[in-house]
Amino acid sequence: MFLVDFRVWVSIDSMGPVRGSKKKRKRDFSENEESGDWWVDFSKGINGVLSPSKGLDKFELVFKISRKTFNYICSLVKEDMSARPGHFSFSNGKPLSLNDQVAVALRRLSSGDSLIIVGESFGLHHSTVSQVTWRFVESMEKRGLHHLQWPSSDEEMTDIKSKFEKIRGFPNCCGAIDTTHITMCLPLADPANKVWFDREKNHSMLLQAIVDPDMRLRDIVTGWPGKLSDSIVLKSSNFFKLCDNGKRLNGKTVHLSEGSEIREYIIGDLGFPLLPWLVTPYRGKGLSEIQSEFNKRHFATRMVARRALSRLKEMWKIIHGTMWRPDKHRLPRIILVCCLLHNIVIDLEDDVQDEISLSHCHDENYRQQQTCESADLTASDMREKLSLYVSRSSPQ
Amino acid sequence: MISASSSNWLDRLRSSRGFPTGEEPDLDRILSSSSSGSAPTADSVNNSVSTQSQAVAIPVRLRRDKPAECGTSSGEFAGVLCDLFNMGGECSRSFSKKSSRKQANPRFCGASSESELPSSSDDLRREKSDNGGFVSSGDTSLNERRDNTNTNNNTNNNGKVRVDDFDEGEEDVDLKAYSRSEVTIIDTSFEEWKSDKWVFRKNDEWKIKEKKSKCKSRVSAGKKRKLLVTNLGDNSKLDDDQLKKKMKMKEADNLLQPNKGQPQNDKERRPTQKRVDFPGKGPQRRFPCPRPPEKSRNESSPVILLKSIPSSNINAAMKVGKSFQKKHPKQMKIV
Repeated sequence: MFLVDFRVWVSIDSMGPVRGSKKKRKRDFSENEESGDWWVDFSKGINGVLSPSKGLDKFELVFKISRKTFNYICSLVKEDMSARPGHFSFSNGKPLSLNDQVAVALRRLSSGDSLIIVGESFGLHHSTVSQVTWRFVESMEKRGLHHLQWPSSDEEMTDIKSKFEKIRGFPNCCGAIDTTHITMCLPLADPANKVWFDREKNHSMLLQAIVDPDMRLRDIVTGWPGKLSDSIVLKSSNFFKLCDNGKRLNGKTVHLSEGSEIREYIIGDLGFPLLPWLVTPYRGKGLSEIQSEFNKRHFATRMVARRALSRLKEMWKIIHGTMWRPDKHRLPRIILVCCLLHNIVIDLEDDVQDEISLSHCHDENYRQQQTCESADLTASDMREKLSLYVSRSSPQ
Repeated sequence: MISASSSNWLDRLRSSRGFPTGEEPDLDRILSSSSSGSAPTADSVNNSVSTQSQAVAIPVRLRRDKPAECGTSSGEFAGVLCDLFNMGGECSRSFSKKSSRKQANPRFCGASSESELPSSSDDLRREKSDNGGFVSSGDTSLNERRDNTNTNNNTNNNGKVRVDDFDEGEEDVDLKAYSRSEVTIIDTSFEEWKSDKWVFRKNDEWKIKEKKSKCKSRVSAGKKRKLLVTNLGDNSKLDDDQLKKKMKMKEADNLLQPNKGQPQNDKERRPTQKRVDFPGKGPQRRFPCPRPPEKSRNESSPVILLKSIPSSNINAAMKVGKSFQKKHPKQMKIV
């Protein structure tokens, strides 16, 4: 009996399928979906979410994306999620349309509410919410991955470099790297969960992202336990190998005013190693004026990465709060889809993103600043040249 | 409770602890011998320890709370009384009889859960380290390795976490002292952006290893069937020993995946084999993918619903499952 309950319990929170849970219930509200816009009809069946007291009476406030973006996402997953249209149904027996399914999945991902709450909101069984959301995740992985990729064309990279230089004068900068923790609520009694126990005594999974100046995620690594340092996660990534082998960040060099050249690079905080293609700030006290100025500009430039991760978690709250016993194999894929949705909102220039307040803190509970001692001599020379160049440029 | 005991009981207890029995114990000699940490013997003590009334005077709380090594004579006396009358082992003095219950150098027990393996003994690890050079125990050897090895991914971050990413040739190193966890890593720089890896952890020492299975671990049932058809041949490439080491049963959440609980091969379908005493004791060998529907299996073999089997009585459960399947064949399927 205990195992039966546990099975259902875990499946709920891992968004896995709950078998045998499909129940036929009497239709409890009238059907008038045949006429008018899908949203008009759909919104009538939503319980609690659209109450005027909360001020949530618009599509954008429910799903945190515009209708245009919603329609685009529906078009992405249409083929996969329309495969078996009659498979999922509301409590009243009405089958879920493509828009219904996408709406349920987006609400689950964006609100971070439990399956039961989302199910009650839409008149669905929680297992249906779980299955629909997972179906959406699988489809998005397949159909939307092109929204998260390293810049492939020179034009794209030139645009990125130009925007970075406009922030605080860093030339030839191609990205900013940062790491955030996706916290989980796991039972302490289970020794298998120790691997997820991090330095801040949370269970967490890491997400490391390289971000462009538009806060678009260009490369992510996720799935590692939260105790691993930023440096280790970076070194285990394929991005590191590609850069080390000269297959990435190997584009045009820039001639600085002194006649020296500077290659393509990304910037990161003190938790990352100083490498020829990764510039970190100066560490320690008693820095020179040039070094301090460099650090200030460096901080302001890499702020895009912090903002991006902060917005990611703010918009897709399923990875913002403490997740209740998630499936550790599925969670990275959920994180990936949240990153894809984050980029889609940017790519489609959705106006909704402008209404979301920008926060700079994505790891509120992680106060401890990591430091990486590793430094490369070539990288130190490069940073010296860069700091000289930046300090002589016009103050921002 | 104690006062109700007979003197015979007290004598038996004293003799079991190596104390002499009798009515007039030589307390001084007992105390002097106990302060040295060694168990008193019949030769060293000629008289009995105390009367029953003295034993009653020691409250239970006092006996439990007294530290094992007290410098004062009263503490020693309480310790002796604790040894004599408290059977719970609260005092940590090492009587030879008690200490013999545990091995001085316990050896590693191979059958353990996937993700948390008990620590092996230092001796065992030292033996193995002579071969692989990859095994360490404690901080000393960790530091040694920091000095001696210099692999690509060795990183010491604030001296707290260390990761070794080792190759296929090094897989014979002793990882029994490490807890093992399977993680799903998404790295969009890879063309195959999703991969499964093993994370071996011992305190703050981490090792990362690619999982060899060529089958995607998390795909829908429909995809699994397709993949199985193409990947069945790949299983032959995997070494049996490697599979025995690696393909252990996952934790309960993995068991909840569709088809995860089904017996996957002939060995597992034997009703006499304790195949389903999860978690911890996984099958010796499993196919990474479920059996395709066209692959016929022995129709008489039951497909047991794992969640309904009490782990304490597997054989009984199997019998029940058989009989139940005859009556309700459809309900016994796991999909």
